[in-house]
Amino acid sequence: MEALPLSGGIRFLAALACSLAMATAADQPIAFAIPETGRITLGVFDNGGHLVRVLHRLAPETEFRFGLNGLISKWDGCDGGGKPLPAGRYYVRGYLVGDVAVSGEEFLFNDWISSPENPQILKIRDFALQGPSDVFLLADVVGGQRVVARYSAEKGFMWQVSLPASEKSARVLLENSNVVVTEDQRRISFDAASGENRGETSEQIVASPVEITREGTRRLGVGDGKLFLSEGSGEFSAVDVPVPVIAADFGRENTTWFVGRDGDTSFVGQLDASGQLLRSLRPEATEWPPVLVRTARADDVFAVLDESPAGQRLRVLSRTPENTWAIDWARSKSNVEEFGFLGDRPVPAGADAPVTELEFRLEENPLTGTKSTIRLHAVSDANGTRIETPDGLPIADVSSLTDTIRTAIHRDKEPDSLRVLCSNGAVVEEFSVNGIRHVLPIDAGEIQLP
Amino acid sequence: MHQGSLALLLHAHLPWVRHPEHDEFLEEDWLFEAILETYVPLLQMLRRHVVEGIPTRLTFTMTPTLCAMLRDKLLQDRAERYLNRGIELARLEIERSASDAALNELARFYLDRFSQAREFYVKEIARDVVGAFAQLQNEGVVEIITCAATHGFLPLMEAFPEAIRAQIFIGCDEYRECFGRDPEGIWLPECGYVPGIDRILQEANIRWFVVDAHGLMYGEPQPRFAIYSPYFTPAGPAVFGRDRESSKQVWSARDGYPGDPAYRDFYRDIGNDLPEDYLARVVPNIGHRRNTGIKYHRITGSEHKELYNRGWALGAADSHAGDFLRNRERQIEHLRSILPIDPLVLSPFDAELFGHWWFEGPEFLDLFLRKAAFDQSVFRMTTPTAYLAEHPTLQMVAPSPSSWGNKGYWEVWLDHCNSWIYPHLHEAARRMTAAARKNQKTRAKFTERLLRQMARELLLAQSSDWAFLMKTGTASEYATKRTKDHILRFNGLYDVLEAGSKDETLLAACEERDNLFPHVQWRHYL
Repeated sequence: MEALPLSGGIRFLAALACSLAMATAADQPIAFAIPETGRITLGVFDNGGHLVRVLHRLAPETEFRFGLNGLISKWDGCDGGGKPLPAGRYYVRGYLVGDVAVSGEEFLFNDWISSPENPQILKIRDFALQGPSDVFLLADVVGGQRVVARYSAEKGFMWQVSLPASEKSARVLLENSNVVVTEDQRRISFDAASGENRGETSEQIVASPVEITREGTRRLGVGDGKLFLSEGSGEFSAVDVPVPVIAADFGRENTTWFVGRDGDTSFVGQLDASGQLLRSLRPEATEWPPVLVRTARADDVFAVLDESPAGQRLRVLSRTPENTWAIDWARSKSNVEEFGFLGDRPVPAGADAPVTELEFRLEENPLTGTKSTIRLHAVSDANGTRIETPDGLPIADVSSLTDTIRTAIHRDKEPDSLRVLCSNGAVVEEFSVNGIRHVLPIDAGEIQLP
Repeated sequence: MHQGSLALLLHAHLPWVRHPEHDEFLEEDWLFEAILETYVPLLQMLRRHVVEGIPTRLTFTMTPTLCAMLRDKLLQDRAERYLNRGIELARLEIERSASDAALNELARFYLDRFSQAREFYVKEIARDVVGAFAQLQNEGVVEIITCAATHGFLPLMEAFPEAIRAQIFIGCDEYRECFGRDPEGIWLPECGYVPGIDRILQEANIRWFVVDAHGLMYGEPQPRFAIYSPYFTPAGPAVFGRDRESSKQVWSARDGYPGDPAYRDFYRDIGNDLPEDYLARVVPNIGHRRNTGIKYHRITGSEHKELYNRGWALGAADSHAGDFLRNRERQIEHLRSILPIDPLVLSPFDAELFGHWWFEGPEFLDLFLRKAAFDQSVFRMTTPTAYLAEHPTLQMVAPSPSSWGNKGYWEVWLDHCNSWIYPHLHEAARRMTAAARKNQKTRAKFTERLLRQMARELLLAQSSDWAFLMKTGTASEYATKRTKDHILRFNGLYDVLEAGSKDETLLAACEERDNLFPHVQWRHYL
């Protein structure tokens, strides 16, 4: 069934609203007609067209009283902060939001995050590897906190425990069935399987070299660009490595893996029990250089944390039957302070100049045939991210993610759709907003505030 | 000597559904199913009563929209097509069920039923259901009353009395067009009443109407004989009260007769059960499953449905007819023992309950009317008009606002889900009256056509059915679209009128599509 052609549109709703809603004092009912069912956004505007109060924010009809003269609301004459407004003429208008669908499309540029419940990782400080698939992360997260968490390549995050923020250097170690976070002289233990806190102890820490790990009576340390080993109860002694060492871990069969600095870049190397270099794995020029190496002692598996100004990447590698090293799995996190769209594609940096506002054609009013357009932009605050009109009326809630630092919008392929990117610095969430044509203006008339 | 009277009133109504722009349209099936299952069986039954000399007295409402559809050639063609498809599908079913004797017998039952219905509809009454009912009225078997033009819910038009007036006057005009006489009574849509309607009815020369029981019981002054007598309203027309006791036995979803396990199950239709490819050999696939009218199962009383047994079902109908008779006898004997009048029990039902929703309803009615005529002497069957003629002196009572909807007032038709329609309906009503007044002396044909079509669109938008369907969630999308479409068309026509344009495009399209009430009198809005 198609709509019949119309000759000329009229401002039916506006005329109707004026006849219904000539309230003359504060706290008087506002009655207004809607052209069909939907959620309602309604605001009060002053004579200069400035929004002074949002009366209803995407409210279902059931929030309103109703009568033969339409839905009924009221205004107490105050602005959004509860402050009484001066006498004068005010205008009540808004939108009926019909079948506008918001769908979360993807978490971008941070492979660690696949749901809002995951720790919002900004930067990995340290990690420990267990077998080929599990890592224990010590990371900075959004909100100034740190987190220690167990992550499985197959199952995602198994548990996470928040820790207070700290500028101090801290490490995470796997000791038997415990995960230990060390910081200064504190050692906080967690059950590796469940994350249950097993208590806190203190231990005298040698300033340098910093002990990286231990295995039986063997200890491994790094300090001042050198690698140190200790056997039994003896002192640390430096191992002769031809490049500065910034990280290390014990490997299988008394080998040692390390990250060595070589000029402007770094590489991963492996020493045998006598300190001879067995192999070095150097990144391609375009790859992010390694900064940390951790091993799974029982397996021929190690993990490398690469880092550059563009972000971090954790790779887990294992020995192949051909005696080479292949990446089993990897997770990366890009720095997203300058994300946006490059053409149609979201990018973490190097985006096109941002679009601040988009205009959409709305479907014609089903009762009058009147056609109109709407301009929209994205706004973030403590309540999350939403799509609003330039004068401040919300049209669609997009994300409940708080601490949002930046948003971007882009017109989608469908003519009444847009895409929204928003980020808290850890991850960029991508949303689609579809069916924007199903938004209809509401004119709820005027109020003369005495 | 009879101790009282019983008036059965069957309210036959369907909203205007006609879509010439589509070759197949799901909601048009409402009419075709009602013709097959209700109107044809009831006409056949009443004709048999005439032939057999059974002193039957029934009252029918034939609403103007229903009459307009039954008289529309396009819908008559499609009704015939529907019956032909039923015959064809029943033949296929006979083949398909060849190895299952019980099912095969039922398939043959449906072939016979569709064939008989087609024979009756096409050959005996020449597709003129309205004319056939008019003939029965002329023979004194039934009294037919009118209804508001498009079944608009009048209490919610209270602020626009011109709109109420037009609904009633146009309803009377259409009645005269169909039945060649003035209507004596009117069925107020949904029994909806507010004070003031009685004055408009008086102006329209309507002699009586019906309200729900509480509309009378809360009347002013209190009615002396409760709902078992009519009363004169202050404006003149008589008002009858709906008897709940007799209604409940038939209507009640839990205790009513139609829920008997022996009766045919309404919902198990082969249109939903059999493969679409198979059904499409006869009934074109329109993207929705649709009922075919062939249903093989009985209510059974459990999730697992057993095959329908016609003999058992007719046995139940006979038993229920006897039960209904005995209960009316007892009711009227009791009323007579406490009231110093000839008590009247008025039992209204939706006509489509009989046959469509309750497959064996026409058989129940047939058996009840026969038993009432020959097996008892406690009451006699009557019609409200006949009762009034015999009882010219009545108490005066002003009925109170009421309807027969849930909880007795307006909440079915004014709810969160449908309240949005009323400001627009009211604004359109205001515009209609303003336009009628502004152009009341016009003789310009184009302006007259515009005003007639505006009246049609407004009337159609006002059908109580749309708000009801929105509330119940049944076909609510269609109901919403219909409301919007008619208001949109009304506003477009109003714009053409206001602009003084002679643009035919919109007007011609609306006239083609919503072509009911060809001579609708727009001056009723003055």
